[in-house]
Amino acid sequence: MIAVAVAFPLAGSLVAALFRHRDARRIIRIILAGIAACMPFVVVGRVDRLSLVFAVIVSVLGFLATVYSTDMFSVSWSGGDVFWSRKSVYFVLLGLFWSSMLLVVLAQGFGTLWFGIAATTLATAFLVGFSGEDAALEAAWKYLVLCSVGIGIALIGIVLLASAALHAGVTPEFALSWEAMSRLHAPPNGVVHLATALMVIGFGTKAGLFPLHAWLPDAHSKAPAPVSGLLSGVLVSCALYGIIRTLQIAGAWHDAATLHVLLTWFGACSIAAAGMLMLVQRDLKRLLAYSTVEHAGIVVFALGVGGRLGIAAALLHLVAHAFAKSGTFFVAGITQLETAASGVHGGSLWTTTVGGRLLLLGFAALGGLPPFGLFFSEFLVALAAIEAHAWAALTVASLGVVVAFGALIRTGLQVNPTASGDARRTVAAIPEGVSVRLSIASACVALALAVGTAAIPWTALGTTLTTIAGEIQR
Amino acid sequence: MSTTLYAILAVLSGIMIADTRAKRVLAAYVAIAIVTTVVTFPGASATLGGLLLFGIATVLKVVLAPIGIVWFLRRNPEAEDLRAGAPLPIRVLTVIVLVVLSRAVDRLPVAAALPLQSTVAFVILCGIAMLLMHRNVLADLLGLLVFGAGITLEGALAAPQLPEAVELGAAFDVLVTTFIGLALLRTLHQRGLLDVDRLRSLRG
Repeated sequence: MIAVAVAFPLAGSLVAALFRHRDARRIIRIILAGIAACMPFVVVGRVDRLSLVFAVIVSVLGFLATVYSTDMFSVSWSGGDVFWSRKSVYFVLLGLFWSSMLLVVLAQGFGTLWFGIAATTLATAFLVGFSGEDAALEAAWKYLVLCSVGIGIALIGIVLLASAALHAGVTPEFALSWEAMSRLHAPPNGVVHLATALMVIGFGTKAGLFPLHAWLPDAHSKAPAPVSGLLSGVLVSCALYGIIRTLQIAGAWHDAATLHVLLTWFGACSIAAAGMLMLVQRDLKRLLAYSTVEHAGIVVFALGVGGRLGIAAALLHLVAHAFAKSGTFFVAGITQLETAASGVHGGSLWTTTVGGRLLLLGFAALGGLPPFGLFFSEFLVALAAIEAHAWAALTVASLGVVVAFGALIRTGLQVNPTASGDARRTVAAIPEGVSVRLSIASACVALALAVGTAAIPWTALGTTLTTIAGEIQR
Repeated sequence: MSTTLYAILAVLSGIMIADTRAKRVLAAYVAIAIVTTVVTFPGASATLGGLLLFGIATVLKVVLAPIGIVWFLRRNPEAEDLRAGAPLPIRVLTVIVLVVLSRAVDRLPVAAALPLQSTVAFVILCGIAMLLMHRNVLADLLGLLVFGAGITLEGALAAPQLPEAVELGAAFDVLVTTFIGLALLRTLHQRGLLDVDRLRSLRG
């Protein structure tokens, strides 16, 4: 059943591509994507709760991105001149991307997880360069080179970890399985230290952690809006999932102290650097991409300070960020249509259009304002850091969060409520069907809000995340 | 045996960094891929699945990837010059520094449990150096392929009991790098963006 769940999104996109009539193809695509979104239900009981939480995030946002894309391409489309810049190719790549991410989160071992992460590169490199513009091709090339090196480094780490597991007595068929690895009580040794550090660096590259983030702002800002949403909201979460599994094994082997320090500072530096870089951004999607680096940093920082509270906060942050960031990228796509530009300075219509208002809500969610989920998660992360006495790293991280919040506020306030006549005509020219995309973006932002209200400790989500955190820490 | 292997790979990797003619660099890459294939064969041949994947990975690494690059070079002869980003003495010095660094790896306690770590480190470092030393984006592709060869070597030496996993990883790595790389490379060349210095519009 796991194989069916993983293969379904790709198979669905291929089946939909077979229909020649345009409307039939769209309807079939959405129906099949809807079925694919329900696939996490069939793996209940076959995978652990951590995998299930991530599978739900991947599936819900994969479905929303597919519907958004279907609507987007039904209205306006000007394809580039490269061979992959076609609607049919786009949806097959989107299906492959979705399936690859499911493979990552439903994997039972590091081998399959790595394979899934590598497969995401295969799908997304072309999606990043989808427009065929020079800048998009540049972004796709950087993405390919840097992420290939990153996942290569992760593979070296996985091989070394497997080598340590084999030496500790695991049979070769289970040497990459975290279930088998976590049952071992291997003595700490240098190989495990090196392996876990390489895995964190490798997965951290894919998650866009500083200083390995160079590809992320380019790729996330040049991809089509729904792909940017998935890259920032889901793919980064999948890469962080790899780090969580690495931490789980290191913890089970009582060898996580060094890793915790590495993660804490990796996270704190990412938050601080991203905050600074957000201040100088003038492109909306690039600003959001740097915000992703900041939030990935917060998750890694929370994992680093550790403890049940820290890990639960990291999970809550991942869930809330996935919805908030995807939703904001979806809105950014609409706002760009409304303003016919991606510039964030002067004369924008953010307070005079529905998309603009929704974008401000997205900023509020990403800025960690209550009652959004990111407010609660950041509060819990701070508590966990205080509990762990990680004062220096907490100071660096807090400064970064404040600066990033300032960058979002500055961008949010740079609006011109008395839009010019020309700008109003641009609004009038918004293509039909944008309401579907607005609804999808609203749903994402609403889910980020719902996560906030549902994640307080005594609710079902809060209890589940705390239980998972306990399982990871064990 | 280990010294001979190191010397062969050092010379070949040195050519990759120091030389600027794409075909000679490609020939050096093919030789590196053949050497790593020979080293990984005993482990891979232990199981039928491993042998099958080994065959696929070998065809991809040693045959299809080079054919793809030669095909690209025939259609775009101006890509033959890899456009060194540093003068020859600096490139030679880089090779020497990599030799010193990789030899130091063997002295690390971590490397004591694993064989031929200096050789692996050298190949991997050369792959990364390739990414930094040339300005033609084709050199990036060749660098990634050498980097992949180093990872395969590490897999075969550190975990010989896992031939399927290692070969699957190697095959997929080459597939992703070559397939996407050549497709993007072709388009970048058509737009006159083959020089990495022209791929710097996205900054900050």
